[in-house]
Amino acid sequence: MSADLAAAIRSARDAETDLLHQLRKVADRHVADHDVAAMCTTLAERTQRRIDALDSQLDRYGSVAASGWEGWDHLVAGARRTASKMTSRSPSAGAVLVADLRSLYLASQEVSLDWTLLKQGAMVMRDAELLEEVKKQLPEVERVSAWAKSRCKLAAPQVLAG
Amino acid sequence: MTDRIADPWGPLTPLGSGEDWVARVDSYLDDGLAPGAVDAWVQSACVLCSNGCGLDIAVKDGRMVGVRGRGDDRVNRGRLGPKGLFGWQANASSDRLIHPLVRGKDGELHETDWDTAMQRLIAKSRQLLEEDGPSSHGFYNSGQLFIEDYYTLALVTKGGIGTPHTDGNTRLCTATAAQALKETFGADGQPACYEDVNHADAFFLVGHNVAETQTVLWMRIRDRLAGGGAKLVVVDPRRTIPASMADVHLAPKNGTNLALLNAILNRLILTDRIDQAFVDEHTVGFDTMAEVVADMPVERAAEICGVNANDIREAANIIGDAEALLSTCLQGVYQSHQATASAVQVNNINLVRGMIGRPGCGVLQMNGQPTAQNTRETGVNGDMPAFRNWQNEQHMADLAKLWNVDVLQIPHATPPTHAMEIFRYAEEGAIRFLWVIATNPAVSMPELGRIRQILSQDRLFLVVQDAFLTETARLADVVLPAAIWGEKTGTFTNADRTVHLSERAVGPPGDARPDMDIFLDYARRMGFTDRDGAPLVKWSTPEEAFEAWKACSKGRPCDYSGLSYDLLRSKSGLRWPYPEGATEDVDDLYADLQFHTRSEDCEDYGHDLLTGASLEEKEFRAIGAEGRAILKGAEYAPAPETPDESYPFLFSTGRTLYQFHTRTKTGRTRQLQHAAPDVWVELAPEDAGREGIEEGDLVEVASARGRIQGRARITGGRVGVVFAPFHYGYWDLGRTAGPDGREPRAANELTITRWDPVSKQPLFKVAAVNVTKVAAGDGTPSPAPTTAASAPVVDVTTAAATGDVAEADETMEAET
Repeated sequence: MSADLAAAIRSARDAETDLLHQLRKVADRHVADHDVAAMCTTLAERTQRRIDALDSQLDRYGSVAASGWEGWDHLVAGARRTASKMTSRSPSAGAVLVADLRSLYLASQEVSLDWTLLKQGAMVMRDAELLEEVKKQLPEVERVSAWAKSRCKLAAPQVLAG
Repeated sequence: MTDRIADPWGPLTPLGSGEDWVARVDSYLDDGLAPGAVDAWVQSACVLCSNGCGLDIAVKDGRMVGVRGRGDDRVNRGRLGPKGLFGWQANASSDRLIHPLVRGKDGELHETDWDTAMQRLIAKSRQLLEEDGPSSHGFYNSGQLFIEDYYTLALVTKGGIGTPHTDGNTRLCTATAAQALKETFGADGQPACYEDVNHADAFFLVGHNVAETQTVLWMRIRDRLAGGGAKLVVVDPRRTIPASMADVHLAPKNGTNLALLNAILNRLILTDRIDQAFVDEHTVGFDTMAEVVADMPVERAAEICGVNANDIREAANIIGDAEALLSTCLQGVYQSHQATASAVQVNNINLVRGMIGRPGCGVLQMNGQPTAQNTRETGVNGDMPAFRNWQNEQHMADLAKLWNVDVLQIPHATPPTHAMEIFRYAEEGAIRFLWVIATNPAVSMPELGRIRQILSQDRLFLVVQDAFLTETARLADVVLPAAIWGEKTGTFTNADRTVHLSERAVGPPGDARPDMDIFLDYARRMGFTDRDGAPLVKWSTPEEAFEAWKACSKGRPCDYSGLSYDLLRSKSGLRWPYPEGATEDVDDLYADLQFHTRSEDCEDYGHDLLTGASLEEKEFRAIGAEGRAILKGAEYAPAPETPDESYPFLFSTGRTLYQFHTRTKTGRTRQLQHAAPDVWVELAPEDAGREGIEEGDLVEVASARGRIQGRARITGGRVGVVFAPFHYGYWDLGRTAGPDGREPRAANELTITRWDPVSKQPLFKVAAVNVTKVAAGDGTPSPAPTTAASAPVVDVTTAAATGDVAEADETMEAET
């Protein structure tokens, strides 16, 4: 067992946690963009599953995640949704959406890279179980990136033409 | 003679395997009029569903006086359904729009002339193009126009204005059909044709109440079943006519289609009913798809869907043992969540069984509207003209060359904007000029409270082009009166690729104009030009427009280049592809098993079925389909809204045989309106019993978004599911768009603003509602028809039989 590989798992977990918060935030901030809010909620659930999978791997390495801190999501979700409804009929809503999707895409890229590094670590440490997990989860991470990029590309022209 | 309201399908003509369907010529003429008294029979086809039945319009003294099916037409062999037999009468309604209307300073709509109305419209359009650019303009059109109208609109909006915001109401009915075909076969285009019914030995109808939505296609299937040797599997939560005749009827909970279809695929694989040689040679992706469906054994699906596991096994046995399997889908699939993923699994079922491209085998991803296919083909339904791929630079360059415009003039940074997003852009004020053509979003779109709010905004300039003052038209700044079917010449294509010519039989009323002429007038006044300064649109007659469309379609999958008005006059319907030099058309699109999945040819690179993320060219190339069909899997996920304590029932909207859409025409046809005069609410006996509701009681249905009231009908539908038809708005209650007087009755007051991530088709089949009894009935039955899926479980006084006013003539082939 490698302490460095455990650290890499923790790094992936941190990145996933950041992505989870961003997905929840975007869902709450764009309630009037119904597809965005719905997909972010779906993807947040799937992100939580990946975090759980990483926790199982950390268990195997006798390590625990750095913090159980859940962030501010639950405290501010209601306020975010209210604010989102208030601004939903403003022409600036589109620009905020593009900016948020852009950040989301970048966060998913960090997660993607971390899982790729885990794959490298699993191979060099000959950890078949971790490798199997990476193979299962990496396409899921790439799915988040693909959606965020695709949706961002859809939203951008209207904003940039304005 | 048959009362075709009481017996909508008429006499049986059994159809043995592989036989020709005998002709049965149905006709209905004005009371007391003899066929010999008709001045002229004018060639056309029916526009009251997607079947496209060939018919002739009877004309006497310059008036339409009836219709007669065309016995030589391959689609219907003379048969017509009730809407086709009677619906033409709406053309002569006294409340047709005959003058343009403009909103005055007093806030009311006033009659005016074309010049005044167009000047108002042009001034606003010019101002917004200058201030905010092309993206300030949105166009929301229809599945009711002709090719010539659509193609003109495509050129004006994409080549003239340059806005990406053009979509049709086909988004609500047929977007998933198109998208599922693109995902699997690389391009839109119906693989099967109606003659496949004659040869099939098993039918798999998924969410397709064909007896009501395509009455004449059902006549053919019903005749084939009567001919012997064919089995029927039906998936529908309601007890429809096909369900009641099925060998296996699966009635899953709304919102669980994908679980059921994955289980059927799982079972086909487990019981070794795969045509492995076909799969290896003609498809890619089998292993990945098989991995996904491995997670859905029959027992798990039975639990999720609330159906008997043995019934799923039996359905899989029939599908698995079929030698000629014809599968069909419609709104039960398309208007549910995971719509595209589910429709794709139906494609997969036929593909893994090698059941495509030969007689009796194939898939009909059905359309809802008569000309929805053309909205898709011409590129005003969120597609590019002639199935060109928006991501393919060569396709876009070809289109620019054809139109003689700069390629950057044609908006292709994104796929054309889908309807739900167009309304979202209008909501946030990004779109400020919205032109609605031959459709009625104030009744047909989900969550009507929201839609009315969007359409009523002062900052939105709303143009409505229609034949009647619809609920939407009442909210407009400018209303343009349109000529309709029978009053203009044009072509259109039904759900099995059959192209018909529909000739002008009578002149339009008052100042009403054909839709194409209105678009041409707009383009001329706006001064749109091509790269050489010549007028952008180079045609002025329907036939010239058709010739231009032929050139656009040439070499593409939907090739019309060998067709002509003369050829369509000499035949009664021809299928595309019909390339230049062709002497006959093809029945099964993929008889050669060469699919449109080469990257240089395909209409779309496809999507991730879960998120709807668009694939890019390199990702599509990595699939390596190269002419093979693509098998894609997707895991089941629960619906976005499921019943809870406050809203314990599932809610679904739907259709009745006698009405079409928001009843713009059928509600103005005495026989049809009499057969289904008002909204009703369907409940299962167990649910009604628990709530103390009886036939005819007034009930209120409420969701988190709104409420409606209607009279209860106790039917044989699934327990826990409430159904209401979506046809009933407010125009004939003497009120404006909103529920501002009597209690609301439009089913879409309840529906949810949510859509399939791939096809962007809104969800009308999954919402959660509660039901309360408002008042006991007085013994009068619910206004629901008693003939089909809305039939009561206990006998009620029938309102459907109308006596002699609905009697149509049927002449069998042997008698002629």
